[in-house]
Parts: sequence; structure tokens; C-alpha cells
Amino acid sequence: MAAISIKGVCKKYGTVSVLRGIDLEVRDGEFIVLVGPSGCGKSTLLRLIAGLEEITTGEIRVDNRVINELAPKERDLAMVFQSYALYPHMTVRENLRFGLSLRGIPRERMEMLVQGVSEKLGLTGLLERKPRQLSGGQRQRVAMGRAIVREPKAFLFDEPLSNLDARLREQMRYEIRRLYLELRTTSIYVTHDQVEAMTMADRIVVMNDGIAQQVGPPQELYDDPANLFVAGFIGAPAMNLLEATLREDSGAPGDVTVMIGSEALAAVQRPSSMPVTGRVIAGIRPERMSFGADANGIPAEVDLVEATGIGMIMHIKAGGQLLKIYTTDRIKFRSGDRLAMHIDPLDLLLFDVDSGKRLRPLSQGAAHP
Amino acid sequence: MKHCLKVRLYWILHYALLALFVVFALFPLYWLVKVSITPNDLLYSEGVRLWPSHTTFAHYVSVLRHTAFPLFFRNSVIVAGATSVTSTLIATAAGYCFSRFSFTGKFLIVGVLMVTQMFPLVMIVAPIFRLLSPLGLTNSLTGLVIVYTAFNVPFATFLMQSFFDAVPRDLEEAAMIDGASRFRAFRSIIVPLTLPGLAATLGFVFTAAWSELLFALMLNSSSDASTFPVGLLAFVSKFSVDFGQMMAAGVLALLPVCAFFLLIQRHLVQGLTAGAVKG
Amino acid sequence: MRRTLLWLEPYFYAAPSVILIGAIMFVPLVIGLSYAFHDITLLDPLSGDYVGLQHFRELYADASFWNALRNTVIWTVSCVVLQFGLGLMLALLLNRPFVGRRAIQLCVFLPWAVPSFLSGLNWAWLFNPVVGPLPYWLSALGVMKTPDNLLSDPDHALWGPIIANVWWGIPFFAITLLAALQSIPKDLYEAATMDGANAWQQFRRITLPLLAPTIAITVMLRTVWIANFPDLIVVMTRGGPADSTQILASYIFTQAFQRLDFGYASAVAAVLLLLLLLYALALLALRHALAKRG
Repeated sequence: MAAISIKGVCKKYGTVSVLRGIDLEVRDGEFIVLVGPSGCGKSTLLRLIAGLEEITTGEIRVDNRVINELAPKERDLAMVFQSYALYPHMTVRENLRFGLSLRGIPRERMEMLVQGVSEKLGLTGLLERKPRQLSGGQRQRVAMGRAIVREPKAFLFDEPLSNLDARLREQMRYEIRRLYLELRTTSIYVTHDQVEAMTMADRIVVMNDGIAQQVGPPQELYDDPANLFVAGFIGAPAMNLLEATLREDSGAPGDVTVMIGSEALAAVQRPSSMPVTGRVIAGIRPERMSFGADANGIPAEVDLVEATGIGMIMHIKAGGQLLKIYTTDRIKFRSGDRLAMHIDPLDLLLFDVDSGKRLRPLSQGAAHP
Repeated sequence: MKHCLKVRLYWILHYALLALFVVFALFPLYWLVKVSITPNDLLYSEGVRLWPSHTTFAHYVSVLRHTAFPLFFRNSVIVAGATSVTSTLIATAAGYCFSRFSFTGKFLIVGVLMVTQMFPLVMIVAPIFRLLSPLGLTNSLTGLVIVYTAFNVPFATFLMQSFFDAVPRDLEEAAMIDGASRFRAFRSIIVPLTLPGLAATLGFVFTAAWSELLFALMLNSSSDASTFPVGLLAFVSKFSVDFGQMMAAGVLALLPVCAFFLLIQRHLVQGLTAGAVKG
Repeated sequence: MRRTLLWLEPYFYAAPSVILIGAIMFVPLVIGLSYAFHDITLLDPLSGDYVGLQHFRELYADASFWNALRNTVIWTVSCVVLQFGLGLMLALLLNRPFVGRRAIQLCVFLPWAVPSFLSGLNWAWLFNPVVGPLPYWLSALGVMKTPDNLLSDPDHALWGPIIANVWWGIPFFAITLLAALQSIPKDLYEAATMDGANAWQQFRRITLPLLAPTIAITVMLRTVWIANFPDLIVVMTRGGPADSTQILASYIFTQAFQRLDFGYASAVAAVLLLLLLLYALALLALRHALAKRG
């Protein structure tokens, strides 16, 4: 087990920058998830840590030792690939043994380790099979087993669940988390699926454009996103992001009114840095909005209702913009119905239109720069 | 009903055309075998009969006993064998390189290799003779091996590259993270997975080297260093009357390449599209 | 240190092939081009002088050269057209599943494995009235008046090597075209059937356009390759009778091998190379023009 420290890491392919200065401290025994859209650089970062690509500038340390120049085999890390990368010409047993035999571990100890891991993962009956004779979930387990058996300093996961169907994915998610809680080995897990990120991580790193947008525990990222990108990426259904203006006529000193079109959404504390134009993006989670058929509130019209089983997603139009409301109530609204929305001002997050940065109220701004 | 008849007619035509192709492809080879086992006295009297009234292996016996063909055969086996092994080794290195690395100048090198596939080889017959002769590499099997290896490496490289491309990169990376060096990953993971491809490349190069005539004719004039094609051609020009023996020798020349053909025919498509040019 | 090594690694793997090909193919090519301007005759110690364009002037006046050039065109065009036409037909026949396809495929592709010199000899024997049946069959069919050897008839002898080459080259086109045919998605044909296209329309509208890139590249490369391929002619006729089957490639070889006149042979080779380059450039220009129009 080990702490991994990443400092100012950049990666360029020719003139194309894929990573533009990543800093990250992974604590010993921590489960970190790198999440972001495809092309954000998350897999590249993982491959740099594994030693499969050369670092352009910056440094990576494992247990305080710089590993930039080490070959992959000298880093003592294990990786689970999206394709599983099981050696097709070897049996499951040989797959599990390969890494051990390269390290010159005595045969008896090797058999013991393989036995232990295969019991832990339920592979005992499959040891003599070739990978092509296994189902997707079984292959996934063998790939895990191959990583675990070597007892490496850290696990690297490269979208390991994306080739599985939804149900199996949910199950493997659970199994990987269970296994981690048992072993407590430092893990770095790459995914584009924010649900995986939310459910598995101790801390999430949201990446976009080769930059870490925000690092923090899942709930913190959900409740307190640092910028528009994180706000829009984390959460499903996604946060409503509305074009709004701030008007300084709410009466109470230090407050401003958030307007969408000609409708007033709510009165909130004045942000620490007020945009000159008064234009902002106002974000609100679909499940944080309430509504009713009464006349008090922001008038809106139902566009479409989607039933998900657990609840409903209502697409509505208000102030000339489309937004979503998520509710677990059994509602009877239909397309074309009129209703009124209610928003708690504390649930309303404001973002700068140009930089996408969060605009925090004065009082809060000091605490969270 | 009418539709049914049409389908029937189509298949009759289909098989009839295929039958023509099969006859066209096989008849010349059939005739070669037929004449090689026809006794001399029946050769003229039964010239156009499809099968002689009785057969003999006498031609094969005399080719093996009384001519230099066993020597030519041996020379050809040595040249084709050595060429296929060296070409495949060199092509494996280059093919692996093209498949797994991107580097400055790769485009240029690949381009140069492509150009050689359209190369008029007759153009370099004379210079090669002049280059190899002072080095003592004419009338030498080594000289032929060097020249043939150069001719076959580009094609074999593209072929090997296509086999390596079919092996996912992940496997190799997994092995390297598991603790293998690049060479160890190559040996333990890539080679076992591309073994059929290696065999096919060996076969393609062997066949090409076995069949080459012009350079063998030009470079090796002494009969000690003659390959089978040269020997057969010399035999034809000198004793062009003993058809039975010539054709028996021809059948013998055909055997090794037919064996390779059966071995590699599953890879023919990959082979021909990789080179897309060489015969 | 590791960085430098890693950077050098690919060159290390590519080096043997590059060095070998450079030394055995490109150096001789350059030397060969220089021979075209020198008087190089093997076994003649006095040769080796620079003679400028003399070989090319000789060549311009050499009737055999012009004859060989004409034959090269006939040889190349008829071989490519026949090999391609029959190869496409065979590929189409083999593109449908039917009983015995694998066995038939094996049989019709077998000629590809036959060494070219042997296929030449074999066809020479088949045309030989002493052992071959072809003269009798041809005269029985009325194609020939008497059962003579086709290869000794100066007017038609070139057809001997052409037939041998077609026999030998059909599998190449059949295999590459079959691979291309099989990569055409089946649902395209299903969609076309739904739209009411008949077999010929499907061939015209789907098969041919999707096959076009493969056809273009294989035909172009094969053309160059066949024009450069003297083996069958050298084996079957040695350019005779009376130079009637001489193509440029075999003419170069005879000049070098029999007359040992490396200088003149290289001059002819230079002309052949130039013609092939012009051909490739013309094709590229044509493609460019077509792409612009499309």
C-alpha cells in the first residue's frame, strides 16, 4: 500500500496538450475516482501513473519515491483494463500466476496465493478454463484476481465495468467496493459514469479538458460544485442550469433577486463578486424543486412527463426556458397543464457566465475562496 | 413455380461456371502428373489420352538417381529455408515496430517499403551482379539468401504487422504492469498469439524464394550452386526430349510449395491484402 | 537515460530491414541508373567509360526496343483485363455460401502456389504437340489449321505466356476481391431488395461502388507488377521466335544475361521505370480530377 503524489503533471502528444498541470495527493489506502467525459485526460493520467506513457513535465511519486523514469514492471502497481486484457492462450490459473512467476515467487507460495484469491472471488471452479470460455462477469473477476494476487502497492482501474450490462455492472460495483473495504489498498479508478464515481469513491476528481475541475468527497461535489462543469456533470437527472439576471431591488439590504426572463425565481444573498452585466447562470437540482397547482409561485407549463418507476421527471417551461423537476410523488400532470414552482433560495447556486466559476455569497465567500 | 425454376437454373449455371474454373485451374497440374508417370514408349502413341494405359515411376527414379536434381533440390531447400527464417526474423522486428510504436520517420520508412513493392526488379539485376561478384557472393547460396531476404522483407513486414495489429495492445501492457519487460511480454504473450501468423509468413517467403528464377539464373551460373528453377530450365534447354523426366522433376519442385499452400491457405487473404502486390 | 533508450527503441527494431533494403535495393537502383550513361559490358576490361546519352540514341533507333515496348502494352493490358475479369467472376461465384465451397476454393486458388517458372514450363509443355493436348484440341475446334506449337508461331506466340500468366494470376484478384466482397454489409443488399432492386441493379449500385477502392488499388499495382514480370516469357519463349514475344522486362534481362551489356540493359530499364512512373502519375492525376468532379 502506498500514497501517490502527483505534482504538476502535463502530457503532450506533439502539440496537443492532453493533461495541463494535474496536482493530486492520493492518501495511503484511499479510493480515488477520476471521472469526466471522454477525452478529458482521465485515462491518460492513469496510464502515466502505470508507466505506459511518458510524462512530458511534472512528477509522480509513490511512497515518496519519484517513479517518472521507472518501467511499468518496476512500479509494482496493478491495473484492471476495460477489455480485461486476459491472456487468451493461458488458463485462468496461468493468468493469475503470470505476474507471480515473473517475480520469482516459489511455486508452493504461488499456488497458495492463487488458491486464496480464487476462493475470495469465486473462481475456484474456473481455474482450468481459458478466458474465452468465461462470461463477462467471470472475466471481470479474473482481471480483478490477477491484480489482487500480486498484492501490489496500488490498484489502477481503467473503466473496468463499461463492457458489462447494467445489472452486472451494479453487482460488480458492489463487489469491487466490498473487496476494497476488505483490502484497503490504495485505488485509482477511472470512469465516465458519474453514478459509479458517486457510489464508489472516497474522493472524486472531476476532470475536463486536461484539468482537475474539483476534488472532494462525493456529497461535497454534489452539494457544493465549484463550477458549471462539475454542477452539470455530477447528478442524474442533471442540474437545471438557467440563464438568469440579478436585480438589486429585493428590498432587503445585501440581497438580489434572481430573474429568469420576467419571472422572479428567488431572492438570494448578494454574491461576493457581482458580474457587471448582472447576467449569471442559476443552477438548481431537479429534486430540490417543489410545485403545486396553486397560484402562488413561479408560473410554468408542463411540456412532457417521463415516468422512471421510482419517480417522475417533469419537463416544464418557465420564463421561456426548459427545465426538469424530479419527484417521487405520484403526480397527475400532463402535457399542457399549468402549475406553479417553488424554490428554496438556499438551493439556488449561481455561476459566472464567462468563467463558469461559482459565485458565492459574501459571507460564504470568505470561507470558500 | 416460375421463381423456383429460375433459382434452379441459376444454381446450374453457378456450378457449371465453377466447374470450368476448377478444370482450368487443375488441368495443367493434372497433365504434369500424368506425363510424369507415363512410360516413354506410350508418350507419343497415347499423346492426348487422358490417362495412360499403364503407369510407371521410372522417371522419378532416374531423376533422383541419374541427374543433379537432388543437389538442386537441396540447394533450393537451403536457400528458401534460410531466406524464410531470416526474412521472418527481420520482418518480425520491423512489423512489431510499425504496429506498436509511433516515431519520427515512420511514415518515410513505411513509404520506402511500399515503393519496393512496385519495384522493377529487372532494373537491378545488373548492378546486383556487379556488387556481389567482388564480394564472392555470386555462385554462392549465401548471396542468394541475402538478395532474396531483401526482396521479401517488405512484404513479410506488412504481413507480420497485420498479425501484430490484431493482438490488442492491452495484453502487452497488462503483462508489463504484471512485471514483464517489453521483450518478455513479446515472448510470453505476443509470440504465442501470433504463431499461426509467423507460420504463414514463413510459408509465403519460402514459396517466393523457392520460385525465384531470374536472380538465381544471373548470380549462380555454376551448377553446384544452382537452385531447382535454374536446374530445371537448364535441363529443358539441354535435353528437351525427355519429357517424362522433366515433368517428374517439375512435380518434385511443386511438392514443397503445395505443402506450404495447404498450411497457409487460411492466411492467403491476409497475405495478399497485406502485400496487395506481390504474387 | 531511459528516455533516450526508449526514444531509440523503435529505430533499433526497424534498422535491419531498412539497412538491408537500402543496400540491396536502393543502392543498386541508383547504380543501375548511372550504368545507363556508361559503357558497361561484363568481361570487357576496356568498358566503363561515360558515354552520355549514347545508349538512349541507340535505343531510339533499335527496332527490337520499339517492338518490345509494343508487346509490353499488349502483354500488360491483356493480362490485367483477363485476370481481373475472370478473378472478379470467380470472386462473385465464391461469395455465396454453397455446398463444397471450401474445397472448390482450395482447388481454384492452387495455381497461385505454383512457382512461376514451373507454370511457364507447364504451359509450354501443354502447347507442345509432342506431349501436350492443346494443339490437337485447338485444331479440332478449328482455332488452328494444324496441331502446331502456338509458341513457335510469331504472330500468336505472345498468347502462350499471356494464358500462363492469366492462369497463374486469377487467384490473386479472386482472393482480394472476395475479401472486399465479404466486407460489404449484408443489410445493404437486404435494404436494396426491399427497395425492389434486381440482381443486376444490386451489382451496379452496391457491389461495384463499394468494391471500387479495392479494384483501383489492385489493378494499378498489378499493372505495374505484370509489366515488370519477365519470368514467364523468359521460361516459355526467351522472347522468340524472332523477338515476337519480347517485352521490355525480358529484353532487359536478355541484354544483361546473354549479351552481358549492362549499360544498354540499364538504359532500357531506365526507360521502363520512367514509363511506369508516368503511368502512376497519370492515374493519380486522373483520380484527383475525378475526386474534384465528384
